[in-house]
Amino acid sequence: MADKKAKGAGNRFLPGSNIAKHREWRGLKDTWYDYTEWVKVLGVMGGFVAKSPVRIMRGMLTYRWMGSYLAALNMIDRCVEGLRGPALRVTRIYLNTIMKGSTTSIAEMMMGDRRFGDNDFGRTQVVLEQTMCPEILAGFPNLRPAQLEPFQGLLLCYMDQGANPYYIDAMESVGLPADSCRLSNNAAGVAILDEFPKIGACCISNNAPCDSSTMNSQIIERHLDVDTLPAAIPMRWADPHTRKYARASLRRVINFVERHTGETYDWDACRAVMEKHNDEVRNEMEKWNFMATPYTAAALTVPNLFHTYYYAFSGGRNPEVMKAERKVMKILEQAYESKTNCFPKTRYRAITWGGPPCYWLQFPNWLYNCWGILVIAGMDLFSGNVLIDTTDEDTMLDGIARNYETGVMRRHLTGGWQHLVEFWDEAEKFHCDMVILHDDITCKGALGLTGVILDQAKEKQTKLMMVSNDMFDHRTVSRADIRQQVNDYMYSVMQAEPLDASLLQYDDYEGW
Amino acid sequence: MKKLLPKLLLGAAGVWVGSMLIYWFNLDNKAIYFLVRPLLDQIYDHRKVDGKV
Repeated sequence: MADKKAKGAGNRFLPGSNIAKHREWRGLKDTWYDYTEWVKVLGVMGGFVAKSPVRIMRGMLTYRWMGSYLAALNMIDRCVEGLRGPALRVTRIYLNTIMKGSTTSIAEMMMGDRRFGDNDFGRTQVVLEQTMCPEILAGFPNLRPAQLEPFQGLLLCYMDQGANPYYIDAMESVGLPADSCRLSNNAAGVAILDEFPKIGACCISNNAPCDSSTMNSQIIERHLDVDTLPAAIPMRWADPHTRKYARASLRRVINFVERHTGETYDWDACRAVMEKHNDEVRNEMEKWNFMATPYTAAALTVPNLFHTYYYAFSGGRNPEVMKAERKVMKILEQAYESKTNCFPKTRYRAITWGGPPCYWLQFPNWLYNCWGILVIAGMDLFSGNVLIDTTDEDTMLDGIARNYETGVMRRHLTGGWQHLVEFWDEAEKFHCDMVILHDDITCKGALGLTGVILDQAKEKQTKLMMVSNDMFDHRTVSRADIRQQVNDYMYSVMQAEPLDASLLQYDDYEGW
Repeated sequence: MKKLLPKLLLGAAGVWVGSMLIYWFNLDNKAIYFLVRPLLDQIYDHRKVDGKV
């Protein structure tokens, strides 16, 4: 347990709420930089409200989940804890882009929300449920993808760990078993509490095979007031026999959207966006070369988060993604050329795998600041990343389907067991000496292989640390429980001593 | 203009110092956590929900 007298970064926070008494001192230059970035984020938030002040205010007073977004500034602070120099800059650039994109999406949701008055804008939106890919709408330049669940679930959890249990409990109170996947459980809870915005001309739902996902699409459809089409994209993506089914399913999606919006699919527009998607993928691969070196300025939570963000919300559409990437690549190149050690506390390099504790987005920052474990990459970084052949309609559809099939929660968790254990190879590629396996206690796909992974670990040199979590529900496995699991492993298996004993354990149960 | 400029500069300096204080003492997050969010929660708790499945 933590020594309460230990001096360190842990003393900066109020017990219980875990709100910082004051912001982090990083030296004059970096503190000034962080201050200017904070001002920029305030500007982004101001711009968000200015897009539609009345509707956004009504949304804030109507939707409980929207209130949790007020914790965004705190989330950003926690993501940059312990960072200095190039690492701080890379993280801030990514976070600003995520903030701009996310606030725009939420503003558009409010602008199209029929609860606050019907308008033409709402009919230009196509609702994408859960992880459904925005790439398929690339051929509809006049339509906007509106991802629904991430904003009422995943992103919400990143901001405020106390937000999701409200929706989870609502769903469990009507009979959903408490061991169901939290992601879909939460989304169904949002639906039955009638907290999804009433938007869109139609909805494309996904076909994730997870237990609660198989029913949440139906419940969401009942509460959206628009027609829904489930996109039946194959799971076993490595099997070549699935290709024609994948293409046929995407053609059904296109026909469905055309029927409901009156728009016609423009293949040239699709090609142009796919070329931009390919730029994003090529850049990602190049960035990994820097991340594999000891001089990387991109590590911990945010580079993974940025990848997930543009995978889920951009699909080549958002020009801000490549603008941010160009700035980041410049910093990475400079740090590499000057052989700058951007994470000087590093004692171990790690890769994380499996469904993470979304209620503790900054877990990698804690690992770094407390134990010197530098998390280089996480499972979601390896989602998508498919270069799409833009030769003709079929190759484009094939690429879009493959990018989705290998996406978040599909490639590794439902795409076949051999993909779930790819982390050994990825750890080697990124020169990691440790794998942190997130044992998401409601993810049946991952749980089924735990025994196999433990057996494999006996034959490997790479250390394996298993850490339990409950994805969106901090009441089952709290952040303190997670810290204790890591502390026990580090003391007993690694025979290590913490870098900062004040961070070993603290009270943050009531905090965001 | 000569009279206005010092006032503008003084105002800008005040905003700058004020924002630095808010930033350093984390007053933005403290206000949201301890003041704004509890008020919003009261509003959300009074919202009538038709919780049909």
